[in-house]
Amino acid sequence: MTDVGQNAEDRSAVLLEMRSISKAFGRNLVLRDVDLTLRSGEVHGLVGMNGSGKSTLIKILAGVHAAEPGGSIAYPGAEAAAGEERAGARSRRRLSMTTARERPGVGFVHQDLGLVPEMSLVDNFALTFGYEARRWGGVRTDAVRAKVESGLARVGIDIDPEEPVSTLGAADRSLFAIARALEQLGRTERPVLVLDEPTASLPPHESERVAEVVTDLAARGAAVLFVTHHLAEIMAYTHRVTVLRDGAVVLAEPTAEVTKDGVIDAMLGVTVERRLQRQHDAHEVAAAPQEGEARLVARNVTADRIRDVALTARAGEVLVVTGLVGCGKSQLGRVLAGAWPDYEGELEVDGVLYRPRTPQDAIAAGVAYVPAERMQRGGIPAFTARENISLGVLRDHRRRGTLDRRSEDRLVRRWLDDAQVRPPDPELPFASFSGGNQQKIVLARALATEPDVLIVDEPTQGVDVGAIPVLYEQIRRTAERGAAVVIITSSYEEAVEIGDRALVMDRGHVVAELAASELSVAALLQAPAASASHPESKTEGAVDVPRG
Amino acid sequence: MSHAGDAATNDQALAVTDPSGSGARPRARRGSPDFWPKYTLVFVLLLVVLIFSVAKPETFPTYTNLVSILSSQTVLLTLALGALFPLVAGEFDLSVGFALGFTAMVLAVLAGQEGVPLVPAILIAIVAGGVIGGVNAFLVIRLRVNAFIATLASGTVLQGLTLWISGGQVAANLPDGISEIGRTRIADMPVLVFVAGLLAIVVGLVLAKTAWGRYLYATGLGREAARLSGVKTGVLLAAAFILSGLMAGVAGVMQTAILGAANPDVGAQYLLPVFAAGFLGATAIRPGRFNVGGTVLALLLLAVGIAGLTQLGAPLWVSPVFNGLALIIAVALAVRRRDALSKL
Repeated sequence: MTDVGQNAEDRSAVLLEMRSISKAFGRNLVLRDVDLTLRSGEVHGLVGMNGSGKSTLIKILAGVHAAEPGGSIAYPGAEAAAGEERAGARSRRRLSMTTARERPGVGFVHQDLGLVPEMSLVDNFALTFGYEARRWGGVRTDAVRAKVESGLARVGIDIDPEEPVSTLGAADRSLFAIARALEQLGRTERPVLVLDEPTASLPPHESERVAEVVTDLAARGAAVLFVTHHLAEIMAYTHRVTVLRDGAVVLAEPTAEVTKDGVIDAMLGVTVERRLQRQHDAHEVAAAPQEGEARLVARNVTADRIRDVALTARAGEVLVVTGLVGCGKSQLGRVLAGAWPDYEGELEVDGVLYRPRTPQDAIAAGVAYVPAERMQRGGIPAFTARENISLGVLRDHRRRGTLDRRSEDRLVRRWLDDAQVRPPDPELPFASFSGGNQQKIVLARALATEPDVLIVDEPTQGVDVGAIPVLYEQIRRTAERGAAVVIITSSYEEAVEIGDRALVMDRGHVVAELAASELSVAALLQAPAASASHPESKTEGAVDVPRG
Repeated sequence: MSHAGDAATNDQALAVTDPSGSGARPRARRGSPDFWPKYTLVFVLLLVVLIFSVAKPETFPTYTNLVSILSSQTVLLTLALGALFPLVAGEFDLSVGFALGFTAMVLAVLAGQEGVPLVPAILIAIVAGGVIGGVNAFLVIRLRVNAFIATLASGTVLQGLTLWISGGQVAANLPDGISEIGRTRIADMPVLVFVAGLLAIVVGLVLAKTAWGRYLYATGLGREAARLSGVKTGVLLAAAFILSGLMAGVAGVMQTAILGAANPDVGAQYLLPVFAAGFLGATAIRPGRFNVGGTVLALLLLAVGIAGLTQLGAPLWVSPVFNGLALIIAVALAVRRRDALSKL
């Protein structure tokens, strides 16, 4: 079904219309004949699983990518054929500071907001608008300041424009970014706004505020494309919803006419769901879940972005912690691994009190950790594969005070072989391996410490497809030899594929626990939001987003 | 330290992803492409020696000249070895030259004017170097001052302190024992050359062959990854600065012993050669990493170059020009190598 924008009885004006938008990367067709219409007065929700083509669509809208010939985008300010050959120049320009200069007449707010926290509101506006220069090169701030004040009034916040952005709360930052995008569109009655996950990392009551402002803007004539993973927000705040799956529009309806389950079914597609369920069944038979003893226990763990989290990871089990970006799952991993010492709560490993203040504490307690971001935190790019693998256990390979290279080489060869690193050359620098092989190396380093508890953050992010089964096998084997494994992942498919049990986090809270028999992508999508299952979370202190 | 949120951006990792996944890539092995970068500096050194030997056959290829070149580099080598520790750990210690000037003056003042016996005076001077390193470590690790700024500032303070304790005068009239150390020779070669050589071997072994050395490199090349792997990066960094200071103290003692006096103006002129040697050295033997073998080669190359040019009658200004150009070339080469690595 497609969205029909040209219907005569349609009372509201069409402000932006994308027609037959397709996009191929190489031979991979990521968008197929997508139509999307934004109307004045409407908040239009856009949802889809990871890889559904959502971000590509937004990037085409933003002018980062060019659509394939044949598609068109009509929007205020300019008439533009989507097939223009300008992708290269555009994407390069986008590396500059501003996030909202791409397509005149359309205001963009990207997930990272594009704000510089240390600079004042006025300066942040000036990043987009520039200052007026005085003679002799001085700058006039009054014009920009007026813009800031007008923008703030439009989103209903009242702050001194000279304050740095870092003093704003999380919701105010999102609203401020929206204000900047609005002001950029000038004094138009009917602005077009594209908001790419503006509420992703906000605590519930904060995201409600943002959603309410957005609804209000629409009521006054704006057309808003609202991209979010929070289905509850889609149901509560949008007028229309478009669901993308595998690059095609599979549902486009007024929100009043669909149910949350209907949206989930559309996102997953029945065939996908069956396949994943089957995979999971097979995996259950292979490794019959038995109740292992609790190896890692957390109670009432609270830190910067997590609230009162409890978990128990058992021997022989792969426990998945999943949730949307910004839900706090990565920070939970850091707390457990001793990389985030500022937490409250109780931890135990094998029944013994565990208070990790440094990664050394964690390693001493038998807890190994593989962080996300291989190149920045996981591996040492200029070290060889050998040096990366042996780093955690170097002390065990010494003889008379110096390193025992033969013993180190034996260890490294065993792990290169075991982890199927390609090419299996211990002397190549880490940076020269493919993402998947880098991940195998980083995982091997953690496994070489023979951990009792293994924590892996995003085990397959940015990993080539061929490496994924190998990584899963390594993780599975670690559990089978009696370790407790905690996998942190944003991918629900991954959670279902590898997990024996899953915890779902939302904005700092664990909101659901799914046993093996209940674990499916649909169930994960249906997990309640923090606001629903934790009514008290509203009265708790706001979950801070990290500064900077 | 800042931390990223859950948004794990893997742009950099993706950038080097090999789409073929397991495709075998051309191997760099002993005897093949890797050989050249490793030993370029050796060949350049041999070439330079050869050229000067042909140009000045009666003075250049002589034992006297060898002694002269090696003794001229004793203090610098010791100082550069010390500065390697922070460099390996990923930080600069710009104060080493001034620490040398200060400790040299401490020894001269204590032994010459205060009548402190020689051995305690030497020990105090070396310990003073260690204390300087400790202060640098405190500034960098505890107060989180950028190491470049912190050591530039502490070096400037030391320069002032040196002037203060010396009263701005050259401290001469030292007890004979000090100059005795500088004059002692084995096979016509100053014994201090052997001391510096021994220190080079020890530092080289520690960096290349011990777990501690590996951890220090890990701290410099990927601090967060090293920390998350259980490496005590803070302790290592502190040790690196303290060792740098201690070695500056040893170099200061050597300097006073060789000159038989201490000059309050010493310091700044060491800054560039030390880092030129370190960075030029990082292009050889173990390309991409600061290493002792490369540093020694680099110092020899710089010394041979300057000695040869001087013998050919080059004026005084040639030496700093030579040093500066060598540093630029070395760093440019190192950057090119890093770029090549990230493009793999």
